[in-house]
Amino acid sequence: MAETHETILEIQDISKNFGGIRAVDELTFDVKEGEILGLIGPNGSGKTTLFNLITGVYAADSGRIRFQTQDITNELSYRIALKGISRTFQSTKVFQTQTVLDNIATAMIARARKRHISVTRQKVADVLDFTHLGKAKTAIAGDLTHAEQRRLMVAMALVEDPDLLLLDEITAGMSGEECNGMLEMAKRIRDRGTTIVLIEHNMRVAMALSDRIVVLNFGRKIAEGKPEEITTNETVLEAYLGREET
Amino acid sequence: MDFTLDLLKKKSTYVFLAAFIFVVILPHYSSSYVLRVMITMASGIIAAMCLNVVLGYMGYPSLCQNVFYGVGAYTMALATVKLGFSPWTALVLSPIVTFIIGYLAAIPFLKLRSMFFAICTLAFTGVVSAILVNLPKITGSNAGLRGIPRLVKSDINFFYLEIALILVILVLTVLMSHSFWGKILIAIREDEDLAPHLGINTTRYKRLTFAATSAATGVAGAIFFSYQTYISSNYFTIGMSFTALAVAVVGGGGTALGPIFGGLVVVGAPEAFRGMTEGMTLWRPSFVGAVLVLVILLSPGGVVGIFQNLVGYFRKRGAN
Repeated sequence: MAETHETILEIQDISKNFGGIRAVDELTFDVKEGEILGLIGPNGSGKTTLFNLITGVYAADSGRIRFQTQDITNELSYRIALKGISRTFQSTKVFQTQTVLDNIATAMIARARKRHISVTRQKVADVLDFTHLGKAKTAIAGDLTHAEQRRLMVAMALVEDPDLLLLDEITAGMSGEECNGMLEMAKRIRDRGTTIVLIEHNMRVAMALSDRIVVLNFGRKIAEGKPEEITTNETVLEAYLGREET
Repeated sequence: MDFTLDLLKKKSTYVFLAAFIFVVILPHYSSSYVLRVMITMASGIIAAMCLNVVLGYMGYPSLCQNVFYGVGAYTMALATVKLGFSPWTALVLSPIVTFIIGYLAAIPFLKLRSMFFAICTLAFTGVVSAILVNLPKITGSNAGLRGIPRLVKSDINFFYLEIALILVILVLTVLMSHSFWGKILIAIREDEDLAPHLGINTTRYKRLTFAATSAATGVAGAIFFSYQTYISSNYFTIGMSFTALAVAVVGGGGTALGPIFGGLVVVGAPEAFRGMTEGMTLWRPSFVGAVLVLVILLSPGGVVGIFQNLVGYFRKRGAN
């Protein structure tokens, strides 16, 4: 399904240095509309740095990032969010002392277009339903379980229907069952028409979920392709398992 | 309309009205000394209410309230004494000047967070008091400026002027806390790194909030020194910033009414002891410190927190 669609995000020769360390090294790849693109690689391979570059947390040293038709390289975070890119974080980020509803309301404030209040109510109801948080809506976010907090983080990213959703290890710290629920949710998000780029540590999860996969190592792209191509790729296996000394 | 009806149903509305009437009548039966204490207390409460928005809602521990209080006061003094404006014109100028200075200070300061921000605002206080002392031709330095015209004639009216300002700030704070603006400030306090990814321009809201609260503090300074008719650089020491901080924290950070209770305890209570002996005056800072430590230890929610706990306790007992 991926091939027939247009490019929504274009990463072009993007580089980022931290002191002497090259975290992202002349990275180039495209994300097609409607697909789930998996971003995998060993620890420190530059996955989260790339998310931070896309969402304006860091400024790129060189290269360009285009979203839809606009150049968003080194744009401010809030402007990027307003253009329709949402993200979640590796470590859970929600407004701890606020209720679930207040968290979602805060997520809507800046991005909501002028519309009737009933539309807003419907959106809140939908997103609560979608993330199975309906029963917890008046609970304080800090009192929720880890899995619920992570679902809330997704709900906040999702509520204003972004065109592109960046998921940074959504299953981090979750049990097997919670994990499956999260993966099923990611698929449902894709079925709504939202393009997803996801970082995943768990290879099995990444393979099961992604339409295409980009593999990073030391900030460079070492492979790109369908999950089945990646599992047999020599370079990838080497990066993950190490080279056998002879 | 619903909002008005809700207010009529609440007990707290009547408690508030009773308190308000009490405050309005009180100065008519007070000695001029007590009235002076009340006027001082009210201006401290205003400074703390403004700090409360920055600290309690937005989460930035500012230690430069006295700078904006001072800028407002000096705008009043210089505009009237040196430039010959009427005090009411000067009262309009004060918030404008403090807003601009507050906004300019916010640009570098609000890039810092937590204690780095606190240290920077503390240093700002030092810089501004040095300027006040070292420009005797303009500010009058330690000798000060005399003959600031009074906004209103009687002391009681000065008190009412401050009460009016307190009410305005109170209403604005409550409205703000129920609006998108309040949600944004809380978002900044809770997780400033998350907010921009929800499309919130945190920088803009931080700067505008800081500048707006500075302006309101400036008005308090202008009113107080018009009442006093005399100003000198001695008034603007770091102590006043700490008092504002103590008032905000003791009252209960992030609640609209908190600073009012805080002001009564931190500024009011030491005054009650003042009459006893001369020596007690020296103990005032210790008293403020001790109250601050006690409240933080016993009730992190401040005086308002204690009330809320008490109400909760009696409700529970009633239910059983």
